[in-house]
Amino acid sequence: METEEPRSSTPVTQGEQDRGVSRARREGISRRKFLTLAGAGGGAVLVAGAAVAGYEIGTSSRPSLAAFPATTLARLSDLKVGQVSHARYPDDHSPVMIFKLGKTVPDGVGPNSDVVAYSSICTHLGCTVTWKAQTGVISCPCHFSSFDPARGGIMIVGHATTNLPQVMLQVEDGKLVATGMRGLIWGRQTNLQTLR
Amino acid sequence: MTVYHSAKTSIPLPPAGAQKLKTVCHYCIVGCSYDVYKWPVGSPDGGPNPGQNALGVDFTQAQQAVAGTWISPEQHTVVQERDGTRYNLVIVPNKKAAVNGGLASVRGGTLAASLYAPDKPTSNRLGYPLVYRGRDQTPTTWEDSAELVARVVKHSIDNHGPDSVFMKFFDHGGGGGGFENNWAVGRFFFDGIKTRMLSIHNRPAYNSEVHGSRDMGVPELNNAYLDAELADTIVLWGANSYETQSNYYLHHMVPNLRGETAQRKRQLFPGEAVRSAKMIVADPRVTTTVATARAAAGRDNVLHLQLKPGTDIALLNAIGRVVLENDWQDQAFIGQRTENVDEYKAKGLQVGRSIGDVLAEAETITGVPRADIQKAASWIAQPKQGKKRRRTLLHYEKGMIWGLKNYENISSIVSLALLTGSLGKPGTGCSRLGGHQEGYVRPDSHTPRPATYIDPLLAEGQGRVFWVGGCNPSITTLNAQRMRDVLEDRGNIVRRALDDVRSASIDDQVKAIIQAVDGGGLFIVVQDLYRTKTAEKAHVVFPAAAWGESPMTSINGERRLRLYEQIQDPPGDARPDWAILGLVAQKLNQLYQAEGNATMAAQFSGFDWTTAEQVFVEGGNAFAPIEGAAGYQKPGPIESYTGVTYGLLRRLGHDGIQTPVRLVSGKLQGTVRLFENGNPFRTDSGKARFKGFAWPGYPAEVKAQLDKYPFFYTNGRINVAWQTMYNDVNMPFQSERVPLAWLEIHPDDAGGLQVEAGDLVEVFNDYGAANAVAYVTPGVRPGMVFMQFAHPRGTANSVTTPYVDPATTIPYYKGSAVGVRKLGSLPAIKDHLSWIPVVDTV
Repeated sequence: METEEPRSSTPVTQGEQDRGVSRARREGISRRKFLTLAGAGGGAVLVAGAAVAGYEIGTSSRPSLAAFPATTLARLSDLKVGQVSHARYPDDHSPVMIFKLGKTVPDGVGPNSDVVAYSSICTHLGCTVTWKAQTGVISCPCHFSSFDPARGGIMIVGHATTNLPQVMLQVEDGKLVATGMRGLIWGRQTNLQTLR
Repeated sequence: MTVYHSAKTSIPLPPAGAQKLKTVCHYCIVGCSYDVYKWPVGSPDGGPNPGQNALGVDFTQAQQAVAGTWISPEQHTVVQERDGTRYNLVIVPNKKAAVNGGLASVRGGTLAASLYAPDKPTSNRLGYPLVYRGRDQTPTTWEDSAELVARVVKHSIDNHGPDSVFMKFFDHGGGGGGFENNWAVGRFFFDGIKTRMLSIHNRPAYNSEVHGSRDMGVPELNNAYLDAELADTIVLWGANSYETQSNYYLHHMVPNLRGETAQRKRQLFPGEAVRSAKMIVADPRVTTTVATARAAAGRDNVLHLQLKPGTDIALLNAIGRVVLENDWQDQAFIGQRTENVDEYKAKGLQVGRSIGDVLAEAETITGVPRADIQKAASWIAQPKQGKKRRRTLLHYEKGMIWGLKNYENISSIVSLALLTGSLGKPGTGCSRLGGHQEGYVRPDSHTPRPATYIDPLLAEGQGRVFWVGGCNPSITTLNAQRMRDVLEDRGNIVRRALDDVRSASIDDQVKAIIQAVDGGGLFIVVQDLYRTKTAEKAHVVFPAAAWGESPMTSINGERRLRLYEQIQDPPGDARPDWAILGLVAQKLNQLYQAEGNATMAAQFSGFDWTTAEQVFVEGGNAFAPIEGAAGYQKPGPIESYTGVTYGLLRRLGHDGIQTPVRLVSGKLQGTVRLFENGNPFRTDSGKARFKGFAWPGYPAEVKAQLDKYPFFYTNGRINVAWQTMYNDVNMPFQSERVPLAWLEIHPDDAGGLQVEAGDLVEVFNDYGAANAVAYVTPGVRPGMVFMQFAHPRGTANSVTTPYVDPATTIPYYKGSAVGVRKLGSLPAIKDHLSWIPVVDTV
């Protein structure tokens, strides 16, 4: 059974309004409570159920876009080309790395479309990955899985079974804001999971 | 545009009461152990507290790296059984298993995603028999298709002899193979039809890949995986184990390279100097194995012998000569346990020439500096402190097996192992690493040595029936264009004849086919999982059950025999291979009985198996049981498992039992390691037999291409793709990464062709052409390209030559030459994927 800690209210920004940020996020209520209000039924175990592209997986549908928090990860001006910055998203148990790559890349944000961010946890066995500045490779020291931050975190070679989960980013008022995750963070059944 | 991520936003946990099954991954030789959890869709899923889920894990806590547990999106799926019930399946590596201790490779780690499901891309499976009708292949019944095949096969045998039926079948373990299916294939084609026109999934003949070792009395799987943890030096010759035997490398070798097995060594070898292992890698490429070994062991502890392709014999001999020159050989072992060392010394080690001459020649042939040759000899054989023998584990695989001269390649490394006493004690061995798993048990095939080279005979018009099982020669055979021409052109003669037969009785269809094959046509039967490129050319296609859809047994690279339990129904009306052959055999039996031919009817009797275990046990009884404790009265095949039942394998669980299985004081006992405690080598004398050969140079067909085309051409596996990608093409994570075969090309060569990473190129020579995507990397030598083999959209084998080693009829897949032509680029490939060289990732 998933729960989510109630989030404190944050001021609603223009960007959030533009993106149609959910009432839950804006009003800072717990997702469970939100679902109850939305009529999804309380008490049921939330199970896998993303009906996408004709594949129905799992026992029941659930809201396909969970209420990811919008979290400021960094100030854009603090990011340096060729260096990695660290933050946590969507919660304290999930370290992420932020890259300013100095060249335009798919899904890059910022004025040069060169800022990307990924989970720091290798999706093979959960070790913390490192960044090799010289080659631009995100590399895991445990069993050598590697990912390319300039290509959406695709696994270059290795034994992970997914590409590296990618943080969805927006830029607002010079701030780098995380708005969601693409891919499942290692160690979790769902990305928005309360962990001790 | 971003890369693939599963659409699943949440993964269900198996409930505490979920069904739990044990299995083994079916892909590479390592055979990692997996747990399967199965529970009905619609029943409650598990919860995060340990008592709420079948894994017993506390998922309320953040998981620890390595020790923790995670179910990847690719490790869960929903399947639908034949009765319509839908089940969740979770397939995760077993954490306590001896083989893999919780590790999964990218292949085994995505088994769930590969499974048949009616609402996923894997729904692409064959579910019904197909027959050729009116320019198409159309579903029919087992009755109709088996009757047709039986009648054509019968006519062929009766009028043109058994050798008019050609076959090409798997002989390996794991998926698409296993002891059960192998036994049935042997019974059907050797006892039933009695044809000698036989070939194997990856070679155009019926032979061993390692005659060069077996003839010396050394079966090719003679060590335990434990020995990689205990060795002082590990030699990987012609293998890229990070990618091709991944968890043997990661779970057994790498801990040794990192020094993590030192304590165990101290316990087992009191009084011996102990440290982390050194590794020698012989490979013309800088591979991920070289790069990761350097990271794990430290650069000083890894020696990469980057030899010119095809020069292995010269290098192995030079190393052996240095060993001898320094008096580092194991004289006691040579004296007590071997014979014929003088031939090796004379022909292999060239003792009649000065060491200076031998090393100078070796440098010229191989391109390896003598300092490295000497270092290799020292790491392999120089005694340790206190004059203790070094424990050296030598391994080889396809670089040698598909290399310049299969027989002598393998004999040369085995002779080096004999010279250095590297067999029959912990931390040693001289084994092939393996590609597929093993699972061979068959009646005698009565095939000659050297084996008959099948492909040219088909090309010349021989044979009337060609039966292909669980393999895809359109893509995987040498000089593949030749095979595609056969399947197309000779198959068309039969197709055109069948096109003209409408609503005809089976008699008229059979008549049309017979007339067509008498006029040069070929009647093609294929049994497979998918409608592969070869299956598309068949006149009858039988749908086969895949891994997990019928119980199966196999052994891995350390001969570990385990039961791979059934976890779901086959799709549609697909059946296990043993049942398909059993059905046609029973048809043939009926046909011969109907005409009163008792002899032939008898050849096709005893095929009425109804369970996989029946076939398994019948095969097992074909081995002579090995009795006794350490002694072997009649050393039989290393696969021997007489007396083993599914019940025993279920009780033994993930660690199974290592073959050969012996009966000791009434109990079945496995064999950890061969040749220990005086256990003899497999020769009449019980002593291993040295063989010595000089490097023979390149064969004429290959030389002709080398003289004409600028790039030495080799090929091999890449990590993320399994063989012909028959499952991978239906799995977005895999198929995204390799839309076309990778062609590794050196930056200098790419620059000369104005090719950038991610551009499309064509490789071509006298034998064919294929398109690929350029992966510019310093990992290959200048003047050499390496192509991913067996990609379904462009096969490396279109440009391999028809040459085979005449001593063994084994192809030289690893040696050809090509031109490379730039085609341009497709942004969806070039701009979307990563082209960072894999060797630069560590």
